[in-house]
Amino acid sequence: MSGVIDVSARIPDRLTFWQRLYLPEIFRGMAVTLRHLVLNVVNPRRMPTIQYPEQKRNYSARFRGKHILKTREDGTLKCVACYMCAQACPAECITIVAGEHPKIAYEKYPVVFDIDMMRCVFCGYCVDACPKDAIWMTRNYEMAFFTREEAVFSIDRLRESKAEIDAHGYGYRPYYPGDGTTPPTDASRLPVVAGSGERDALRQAGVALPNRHVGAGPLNATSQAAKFTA
Amino acid sequence: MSSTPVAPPPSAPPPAPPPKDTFTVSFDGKAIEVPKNLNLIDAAKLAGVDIPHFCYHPRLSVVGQCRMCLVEIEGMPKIQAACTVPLKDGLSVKTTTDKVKNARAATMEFLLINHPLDCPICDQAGECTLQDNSFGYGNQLSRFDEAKRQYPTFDRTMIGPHVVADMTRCIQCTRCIRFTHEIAGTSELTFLDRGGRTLVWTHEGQPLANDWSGCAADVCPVGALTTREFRFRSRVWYLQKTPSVCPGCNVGCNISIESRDDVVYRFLPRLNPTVNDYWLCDYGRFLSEPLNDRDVHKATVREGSAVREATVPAAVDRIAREIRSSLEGKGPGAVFFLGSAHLSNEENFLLRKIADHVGSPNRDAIVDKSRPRKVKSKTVWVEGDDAGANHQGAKDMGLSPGAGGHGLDAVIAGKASPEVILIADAAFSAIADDPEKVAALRRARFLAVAARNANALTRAADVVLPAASLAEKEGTFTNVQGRVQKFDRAFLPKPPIRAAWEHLLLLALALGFGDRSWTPHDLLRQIAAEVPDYAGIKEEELEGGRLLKKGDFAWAGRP
Ligand code: SF4
Ligand code: SF4
Ligand code: SF4
Ligand code: FES
Repeated sequence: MSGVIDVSARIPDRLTFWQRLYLPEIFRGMAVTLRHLVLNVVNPRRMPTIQYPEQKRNYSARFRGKHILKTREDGTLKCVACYMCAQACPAECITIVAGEHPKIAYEKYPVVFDIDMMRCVFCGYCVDACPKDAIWMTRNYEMAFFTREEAVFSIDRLRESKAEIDAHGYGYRPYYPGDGTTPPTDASRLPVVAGSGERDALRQAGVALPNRHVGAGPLNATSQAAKFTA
Repeated sequence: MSSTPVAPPPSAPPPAPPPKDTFTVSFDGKAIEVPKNLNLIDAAKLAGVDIPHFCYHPRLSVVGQCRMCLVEIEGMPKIQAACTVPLKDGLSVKTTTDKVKNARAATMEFLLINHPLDCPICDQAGECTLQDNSFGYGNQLSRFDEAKRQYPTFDRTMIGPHVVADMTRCIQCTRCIRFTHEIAGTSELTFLDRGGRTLVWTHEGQPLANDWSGCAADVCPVGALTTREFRFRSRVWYLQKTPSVCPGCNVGCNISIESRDDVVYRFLPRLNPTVNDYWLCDYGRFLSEPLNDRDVHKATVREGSAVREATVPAAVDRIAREIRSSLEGKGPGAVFFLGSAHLSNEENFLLRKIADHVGSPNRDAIVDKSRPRKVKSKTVWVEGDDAGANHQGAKDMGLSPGAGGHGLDAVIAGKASPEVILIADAAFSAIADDPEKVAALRRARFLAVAARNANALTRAADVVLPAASLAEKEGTFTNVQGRVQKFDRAFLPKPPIRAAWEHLLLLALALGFGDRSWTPHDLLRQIAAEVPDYAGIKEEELEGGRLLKKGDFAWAGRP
């Protein structure tokens, strides 16, 4: 096949006498190392290595680093615990437990949202899968841990923070025109039609109507259930 | 009938061909014979043709509300709602023409105009008919860019003890309303308002609180009605379905245990027209939660005043030793065996075999009475009032006092005082948590129980064995109709927990009979060979249950 280098062909079946002497070959190898050492000291710019962590490479603007969970204007997580990211994740490193949000408009939120950074393969599929634009990646790749437990990031370490973005910048995220960070239409800003017919108009005007709600207001499963079993 | 007078032939006329009880109907050019009383949608299903629908439900009246089932019928100029077209011979139905495709796409587009597309939040996602039909028959894009209708005061409200309603997701199919009218007969739900503002709600101030309210959430094709207990606990596509039988009472509703990672998340009804049809009562449905409770994880053995952990084989050996020593001292009458209405036929059968082996006539299985529970089968209501699913089976397996033996009553009343008592299920009755009755049982020298949850009985017992839950074992139950029904194992119990039949098999081996390789399947074969009423019963026929040919069931109506 063209383009394929058969490395096995380059290894001779038998070592030559000269090679079997061993030491001459050692000195030949050291000479290569010494040549590079001298050249690098004379001309440091030819060195391919950098002095990490003092020096860092500038990775792409869409680098796939540590994840962040985006927040709404009121500081709550945009995530609605739909499990799409967990479903898409090839490493199965996302663990979500969903809960009932007290605010009806949000309805559902992640009580637990863990990403095991040690299992994560940083493929960005979670970002692609998210229907709520709730999970992005940063360019932060500096994650080293002493224990496995430390590598599991929960909401407090995933929630977007200004300091983190200032330090590392956004990485992989949905591609939006413009500055790349603002979705073209934000669903939460769509107009809302208030009221549902006459009854709601009356209710909103403060007219006392017989309450046909079995449990108005935020759903609190336990206390509402108690109402019925009492 | 001809009126021409014809002289009767001297011999009997050849018998007229029996009237055909099927129609020949063709779907997309494929002709099949279908029973006369079928709905067109179900007939199409028989022919392997899928007619998308929302409002049609095989057990509810036909209303033609959703217009999703539109098809073309030869000889009719306009497209028809398939669910409302009566079958007749020679009907030719077309479901693949452009006219039908466009009509379906248009219906989907109308339905989605006001639908919130909440799928990431909505609990129905994954088993949502609207999602499926949109994917299968809808347009990808919507041309609607006005604001969507919302019901700000009718979202996420508990309209009953179990059901949470969110009217923004309702597609006004009226299945839930028809369910409460036609099946439950309680009519809690109704339409409020008219036209574009129509919504489903309960009558003023009334909760949706019938005994089957969870079924309203089942029949709802979308996420407008969901159950409080299951909401947000798991995405449905993660759940593994295992056919099983409800442990709640002796109606024996067929259920599907939905579990993931060894946790049971919910029970759903499993179709069986002869027992529970499409339905399940709320009591049984929500027994799925307690099925995960367990506080007996290890075998324990009392030595003197101390209770120590032990391995299951060691604990079983101890029971065998105690049984043997009292047999030697006092004879077979000194051992008492108690089965349970919560155990399978196989387990109760094995317990009875052990009693036979040691020769003890002292055996019993009792059941608490609960408030009557009923569920509608396809034809009649099936009623039960046992607090356990298998009292009938336990009795059939021979767990009642033999000649000269005594039952649990006598033991508790002090009329009999066995030396060793073996209770195969610590939750057999409320008696197990009644200190006086437990004290009466404790009068025995040695008391052994298998248990999942601690109660007064397990605290008093000398040996406690950790027993598997319904989801962790397989077997059969016999319901109030005398129908033997099979349940499967959803997941393995966590060692050293074992099913009661495994404990009993270990005990049988320690007492010198049985075979290490026995499984519930072998035990069922033995039941078929040894228990007269169950003669010839085969596991393969238990799909849907097999009715025993017996006349002595209290339950009168038989479908
Ligand atoms: S896909 Fe997005 S909204 Fe859904 S659980 Fe993941 S982060 Fe949350
Ligand atoms: S009802 Fe179905 S289509 Fe509507 S939001 Fe729920 S899952 Fe999505
Ligand atoms: S609540 Fe559900 S079942 Fe009832 S009408 Fe609406 S969509 Fe149909
Ligand atoms: S199923 Fe026929 S109109 Fe709804």
